[in-house]
Amino acid sequence: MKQKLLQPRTLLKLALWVVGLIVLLLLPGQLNNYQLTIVDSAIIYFIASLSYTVMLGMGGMMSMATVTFMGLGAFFTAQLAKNWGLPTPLAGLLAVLATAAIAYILSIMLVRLEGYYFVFGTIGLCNMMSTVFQNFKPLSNGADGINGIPKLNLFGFTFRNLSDWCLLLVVLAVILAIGVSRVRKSALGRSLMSIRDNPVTAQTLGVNVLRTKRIAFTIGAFLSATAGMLVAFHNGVVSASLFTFNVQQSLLMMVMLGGVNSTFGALGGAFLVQLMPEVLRPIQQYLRLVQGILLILLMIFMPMGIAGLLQSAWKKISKSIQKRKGGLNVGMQQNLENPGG
Amino acid sequence: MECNKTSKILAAEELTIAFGGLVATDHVSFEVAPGEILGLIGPNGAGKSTLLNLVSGIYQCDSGKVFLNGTDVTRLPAHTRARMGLGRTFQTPRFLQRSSIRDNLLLGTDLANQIGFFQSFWDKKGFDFEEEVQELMGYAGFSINWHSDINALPFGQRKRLEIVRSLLSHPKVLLVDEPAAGLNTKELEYVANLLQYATQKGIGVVLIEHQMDLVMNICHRIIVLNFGKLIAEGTPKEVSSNAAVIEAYLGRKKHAHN
Repeated sequence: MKQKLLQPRTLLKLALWVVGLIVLLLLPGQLNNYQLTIVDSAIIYFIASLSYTVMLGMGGMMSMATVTFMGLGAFFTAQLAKNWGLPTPLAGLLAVLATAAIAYILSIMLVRLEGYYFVFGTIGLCNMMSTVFQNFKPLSNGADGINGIPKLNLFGFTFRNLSDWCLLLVVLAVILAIGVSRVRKSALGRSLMSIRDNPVTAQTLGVNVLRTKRIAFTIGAFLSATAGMLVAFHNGVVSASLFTFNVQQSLLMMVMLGGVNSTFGALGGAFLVQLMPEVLRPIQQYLRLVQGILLILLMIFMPMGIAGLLQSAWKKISKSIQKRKGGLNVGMQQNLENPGG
Repeated sequence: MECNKTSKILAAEELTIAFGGLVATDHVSFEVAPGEILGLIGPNGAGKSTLLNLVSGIYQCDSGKVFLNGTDVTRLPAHTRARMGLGRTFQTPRFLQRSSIRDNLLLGTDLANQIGFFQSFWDKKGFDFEEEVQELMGYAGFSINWHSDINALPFGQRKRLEIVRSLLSHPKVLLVDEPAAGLNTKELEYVANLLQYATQKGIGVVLIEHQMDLVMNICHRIIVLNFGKLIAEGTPKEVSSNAAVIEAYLGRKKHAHN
């Protein structure tokens, strides 16, 4: 176990990580503004979809109201930064925390609903709040939305152009995704997965089902609100149309395309869903049709999404490496087979 | 203190629950001492699993009381009882099907460590549990390949792995529901090993089992349920010669003779 870092599997994984990160960091310089818009919004939606990774992927809770918290995060940010005149980072932080607090209060009721009931409960919340966003002027300025949101200013640096934003988003997304994968490996993640797979067993293993679900719901809302806050600063405008049930559907599609069980899978899904309208521009009117067919085929042939596909490929590669290099891993297994020694 | 048979680690008093008109458990009382294996037997549908569910808090009883280590836990939820040291396994092993074997076993260790979510996010306490796992696997009679899929394990190994997971949570009492069902003779021995290891650790064990050889060999005392009622209690020897027990298992003697 001490030699874990020297294992070829781990080295290969590390190398892939480094290459991936370098590509992401060099990317902004190579793209034009049109491409950057797509990349930026894909990354923002990826951050939003991390909320599904925690709630649905780990906890089996299919919330249909994640855009609601995205909306709250966005409108709070807009209000605090524009109308209250708070410094932008502070406004963003407060908006996200306030949304998480609201989510916690709502979760007390919502997580008592199980399975399908939770889905329908959150659909109710989503539709209700999208009406509020459209009509409640003090929060969202009604159907016009809020424009002229101040530019984000971090430590004296103002994020004006899209490539700066792209860098910021990449860094944020990586930090949040690492955080989420840490959750998966922590007691919280295991508790959530035990609830997903068998709530009764979870209880007999000391898992407080309701409390754990409340925490997951709050973390989910935190991530959604972070994405909402980024939308507000990135676009400089927010309007209710960004947080409707339709958008929720697209978000869910990104997650399913990417793979529910994978933290980074949704990134692929987010890019696909963002790119699709661009690629299919010539046959724009059939966009939903194509998306629907694609989703059905996907659920049939690769239910674990892009990430599932990559994972099985990865397993094959690492197995063949193991076979070739052998030594270390075989030694480990032999140790385990002789519990006495 | 651990082997003091007079101090009861688990006590059930007059436990009763009815589902509709059916009284599934009818004023059943029993006690378990640390390091003792209490057998719980009875025909199918006698209410054995229901009794375990009442004790572990999956069902709330209509009347009666449950004491764990002297504390009244009757109105406490299942997860609190688990955190107080009440472990249990199920007839069909229940694991996280989509997680690794490591994560499945870590759930047991998490319960033993009782660390908060935020703490476990930052530090790695509880991850060095492999020594303990290896010791337990010695009793369980097979070794773990950490890379294999938990669903790919043979049934007999999964049943023993579930007991191992419970033992990793360092319970004070372990409720075991039919650990031997579907296992071969060799595997039965390993189950007996694991349960005897538990008693050495001072854990009080309640064992539901139909495999009479196992029950008669390892139980210190046995209680017998029939139609939700406790009909006999005593040492294996006393119980196996008890007329009411024989009748419950074999049908009425008089009828047989006629």
